[in-house]
Amino acid sequence: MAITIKVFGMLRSILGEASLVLDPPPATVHQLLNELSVRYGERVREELLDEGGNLDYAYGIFVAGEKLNNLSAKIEDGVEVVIASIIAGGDHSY
Amino acid sequence: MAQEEVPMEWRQKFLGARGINMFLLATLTDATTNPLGPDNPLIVGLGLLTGLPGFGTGRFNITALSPATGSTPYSGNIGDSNVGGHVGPELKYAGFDHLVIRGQSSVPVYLVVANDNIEIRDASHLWGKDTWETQQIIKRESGDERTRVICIGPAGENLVRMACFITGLKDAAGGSGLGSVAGAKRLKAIAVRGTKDVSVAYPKELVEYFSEQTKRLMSQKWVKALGYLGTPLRMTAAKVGGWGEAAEFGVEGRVEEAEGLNAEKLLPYSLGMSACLGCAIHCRHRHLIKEGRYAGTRGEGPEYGALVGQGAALRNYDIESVTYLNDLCNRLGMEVNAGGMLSFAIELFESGLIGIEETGRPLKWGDRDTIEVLTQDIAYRRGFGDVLAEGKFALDRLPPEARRYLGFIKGAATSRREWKTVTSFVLSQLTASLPAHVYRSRPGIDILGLPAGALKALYGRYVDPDIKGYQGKAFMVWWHELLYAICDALGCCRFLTVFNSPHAPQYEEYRELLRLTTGWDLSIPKLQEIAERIYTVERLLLGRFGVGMRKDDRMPEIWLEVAGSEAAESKAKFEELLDEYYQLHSWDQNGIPTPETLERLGIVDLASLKGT
Repeated sequence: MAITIKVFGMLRSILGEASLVLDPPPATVHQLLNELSVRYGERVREELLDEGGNLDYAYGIFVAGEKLNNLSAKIEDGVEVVIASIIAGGDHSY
Repeated sequence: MAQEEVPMEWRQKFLGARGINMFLLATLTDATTNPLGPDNPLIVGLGLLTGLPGFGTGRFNITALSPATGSTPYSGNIGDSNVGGHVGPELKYAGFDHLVIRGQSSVPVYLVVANDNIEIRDASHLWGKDTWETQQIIKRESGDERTRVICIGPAGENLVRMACFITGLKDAAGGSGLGSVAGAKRLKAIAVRGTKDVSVAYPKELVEYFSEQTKRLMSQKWVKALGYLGTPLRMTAAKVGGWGEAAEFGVEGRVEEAEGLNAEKLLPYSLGMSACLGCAIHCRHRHLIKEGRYAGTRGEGPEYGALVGQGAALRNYDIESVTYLNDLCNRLGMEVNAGGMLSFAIELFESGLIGIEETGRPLKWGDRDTIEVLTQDIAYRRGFGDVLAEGKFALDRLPPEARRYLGFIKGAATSRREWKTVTSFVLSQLTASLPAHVYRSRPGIDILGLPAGALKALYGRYVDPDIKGYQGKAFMVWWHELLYAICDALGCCRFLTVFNSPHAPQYEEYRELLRLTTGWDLSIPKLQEIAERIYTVERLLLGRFGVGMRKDDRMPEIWLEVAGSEAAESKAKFEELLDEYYQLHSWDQNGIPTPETLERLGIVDLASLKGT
């Protein structure tokens, strides 16, 4: 079953799209990156990976509120995946 | 008016900005000082390196006793704001590092600071003007467009307890209501123009180091993201990661509606990004709304704080309205967090505790008209706005049950829904040396999902990579407390240290910057000792006001009630975290600095401050 990817942050300006559907769905984060790179070019891989080839800390890849922290993390069928830039501040207080 | 050299001993012990400011606050006030009285010193303090090439070194602190956190309307607690922009550097170039403003004028005045000289001038023609008009008039009158100004608006003049200072379009010294301290002194503004040189130890090497570091920073992805989309980026990250405060998204966590406030929604209005002096990131938007209800709205921001304070916390998901309200607050000289009082009021209205006879109009979530009117009413103390302008002291004029709609940490009001899923964030807020401050000590990188190995490389010990875990989190908070104390004391920006990235500048870079600027060669343990001293002075000050002990580092009971079993189960674990946290600081198990620690840090003369 297809998965939906929602994209926020710098990656959105690279892809030129806010959301996309992948069908057949990738089974792992590694496959997801491969698929996005095929569609949008190697810039995607450069953006989402660090120099060591691991997921760059500047991005979070989330499924159902859980952050997927490595390339071998599995992606279930039919889920919504969110890829977003992560920062810890500003903030709000009373 | 008196001028003197900053004693070298103060520099060596506290560096500058927050460090020296807190020492002055401790020695110039006592437990009876009224924050809105003449004896409360308003202390403007530049970082040791403010205005020089560095890591976002446009920043400085404004410190005084805060009128927002005392046990009575006439008492206070630590108030401290860190602010950027360009006026701090200008003050350095005018030859001043700290201004200690005491007393009270009988008429509105403003300070004019030029090279080595300060005048007090009549500000009657400025009183009542908003912060943007004030700055424009002063610049015009000075005949020099390079004049920089920091000022208060109507909120400060009317002693609103959430009033702030504004410089430029949006750089705010807020969070402690210190704009009202200036208002009580009838001090409208400080205007600065400086053209003096500042000597540094190794000028050529400093410029080369700065260029090389700036290039390195600008190549990093987190810098590019922040520099393109600003702090509003946090809205999506907090929502999907589950680490946002529940208050952000309204009462029942309306996360889907908060889509209207994502960072991307601001892009159509953005004219580009602007920066504080010399900053590699340039993290804030310049905006313009061209058409519709808010056509002509032009300013800077909004930051994440405004997207929540004037947006999600009020269930106002209209990005244009929030942008307008952001500018309105900036012009009024009022913290965007004043939206928290509006959120509180709407809850009370919905619960039936207050009605139209008190508020003058119905209060509803997401009602833009009412939000806009009430925001102005607070700044001008009109009608129900006069009640809300009192901040937590509004409770003196509301039904007793209203108290249950707020949480309190060290006297500062918080939302009753502040429970977060990130252990280190909770601990840092509970123990922050600025009451209830959410990022005084926030270990921001805890949410990046760094693996255990990377955390060990950074901290030198095991820290649980799970944001909900406990192991190592007391150490993490302590480590960041000390780093940020140095960052603030130097005048560097929090965003350009280990806050959003483990690769950001920290002790080694600060050492090198200090060496090239001052010629000092301070070891990392020496820098940490300075940080411990600053933090311990702050702890002593909290103790003076009766909020510097273990009982004051605990979660408000209302958080536990509202958040339910998850929070309640963590109570015992947080006590263990406090045990470790106090050991790291070399405080006793009641959280009070020990005589041996005061001796080691050379602040025994401040021992009388501590609580009993």
